Amino acid sequence: MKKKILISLLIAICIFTSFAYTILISKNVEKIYAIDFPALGSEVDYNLKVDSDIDPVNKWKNKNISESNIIEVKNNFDSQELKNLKRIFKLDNCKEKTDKDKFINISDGSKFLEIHPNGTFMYADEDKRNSNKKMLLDDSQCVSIAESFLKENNLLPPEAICSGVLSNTLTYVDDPESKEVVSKSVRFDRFIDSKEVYGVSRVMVIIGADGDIISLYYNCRTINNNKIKKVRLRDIESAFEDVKHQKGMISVKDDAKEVVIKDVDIVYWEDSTPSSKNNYLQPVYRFRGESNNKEGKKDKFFAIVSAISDELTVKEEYTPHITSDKKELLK
Amino acid sequence: MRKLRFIFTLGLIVLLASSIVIPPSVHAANMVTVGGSVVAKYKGFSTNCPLKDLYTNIYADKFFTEITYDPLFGDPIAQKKFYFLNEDAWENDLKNNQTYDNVDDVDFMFFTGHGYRASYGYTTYNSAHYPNTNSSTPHGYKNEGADASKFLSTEATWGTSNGSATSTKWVTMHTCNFLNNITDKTLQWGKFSYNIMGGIHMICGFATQMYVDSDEGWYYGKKLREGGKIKWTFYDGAAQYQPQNSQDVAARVLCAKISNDDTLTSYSVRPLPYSQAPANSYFYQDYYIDGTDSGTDWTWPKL
Repeated sequence: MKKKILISLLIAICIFTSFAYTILISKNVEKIYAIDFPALGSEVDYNLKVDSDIDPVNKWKNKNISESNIIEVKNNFDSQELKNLKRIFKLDNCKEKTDKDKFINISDGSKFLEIHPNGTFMYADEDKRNSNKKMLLDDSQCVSIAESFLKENNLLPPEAICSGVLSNTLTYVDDPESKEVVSKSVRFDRFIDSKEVYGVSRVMVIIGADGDIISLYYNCRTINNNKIKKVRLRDIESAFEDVKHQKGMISVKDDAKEVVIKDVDIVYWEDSTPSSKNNYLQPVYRFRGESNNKEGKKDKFFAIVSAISDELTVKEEYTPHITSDKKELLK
Repeated sequence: MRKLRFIFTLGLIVLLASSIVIPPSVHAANMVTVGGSVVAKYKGFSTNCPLKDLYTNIYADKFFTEITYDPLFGDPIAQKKFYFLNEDAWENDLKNNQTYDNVDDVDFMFFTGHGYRASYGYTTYNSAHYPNTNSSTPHGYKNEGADASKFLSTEATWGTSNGSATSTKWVTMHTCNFLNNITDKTLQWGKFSYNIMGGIHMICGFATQMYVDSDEGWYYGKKLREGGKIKWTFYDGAAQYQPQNSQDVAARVLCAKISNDDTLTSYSVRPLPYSQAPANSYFYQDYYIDGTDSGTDWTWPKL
């Protein structure tokens, strides 16, 4: 009899422990990493105002939007994808090496492919990107090359659109007139649920002078459509307080003296940098407006702050361990 | 059995002796020396300085950790010579001929903290801001333009100090606008001085505003250690870490032509200082992550 009680007790403890563990784990899974907004490396001293005719903050409040989606993105890659990438970049016969950070590196001495643990990757052809020949192709030719390459190789995310072409230049110091375009970057940004995606969420294809793809930065991840959840939005007033204190990500012309906010909406933020462990696209408030410099010249302004409350997220902590040195008279 | 014991004991003695005699790294003498001058606390240092605090200390910590990483097999390629943070970081860290180890005494030097736009606090574009005044004393109230609180490109000849060549080869300025060479014609507050190239191989930085993401330091340090070309490693970091924006963001490398392919362990001879070099010995190369100055129609995001 005693034996039976003991066994029952043990079974009960096991069930209870596994139940508690499951709850704990699932709670952790629900937590998502808070966005670690990159900070502007210079100070812009402007007065912040709100367009009183439009009254964007109250206008937003009156819309009564209380929820938005968080969307899980893919966070790995498999052997088939690795094989495909090797084929696409003609590195089939090269061996891959995995480093301490679980980056997979494949190189033939000139071309290299670097695949990150979260599934993002970059490719470059060292010889070609060092050639510095004068670029003669126009923007539309570069877009066409980049788009065809991505489509043919099934690398163009369905939500991505070509957002622009940027010219990369080389200039001899003694002769500013010598400035020459040596490559062009064709950038593809994502729109999800008709919303722009900020952060680092893009594919950038660099076209060399001869029309070759000399590098490619693939910094976005596939959406997991089965893992879309609704979350409650934080109130707009507290988000606006963040904007007033220049928290979040601020995009402002460096000579701005005054900023007028004209619009508030929700967009997404994705962190698909090589080291990112943040596996969710998160809703963020975007406060848009205009800046004026002291001559009255207008420019674009936006501020992005988190739209979900702190209790739904966990901060990715990092404690610096290298301490500052004191100056010593050594000479 | 005795023979076996003898061999085992001998082996143990040889192993112990070698661990005492052989230094931890056979290349220690040739290791790249790295120095950092880093400001994370501005407002947090003194209310006299209105600039926001940054997580540049985390950038620096990750960068140092990666670049000096000692692998299980093989040797580290770089060692930290000094790391001056916050109150220990002074403008003089970037100037020549000081009484303590600074930019003149390392192969690779980096600064990260706030940079400026022209006219802010009476500065030119190309400046690195310190909230102190070459001491633990803060600059005056809102006096960011104080000479001892801003390092300008006109204040050093990196690679030459007091007429002699220094060990400095590469400098990274992870801050806004340090390599911005636009002269504000209306203000006439100076312009970038190429004489700062006093024998160093290259400066990596930005020609525009930029953003601080501490993981960019991790990536940059890691890829440099793994043998990446310095120029391309800097661009690759910026291309993958600078966030989407509506303003211009351009990574710029100012480089002696002969040093274009430098890595930390394989690099050119010391270039002639800019002031003595023949024409077209130096160039700068720009990589845009965002922007309109590149001469294209940039339409994103729409307002």
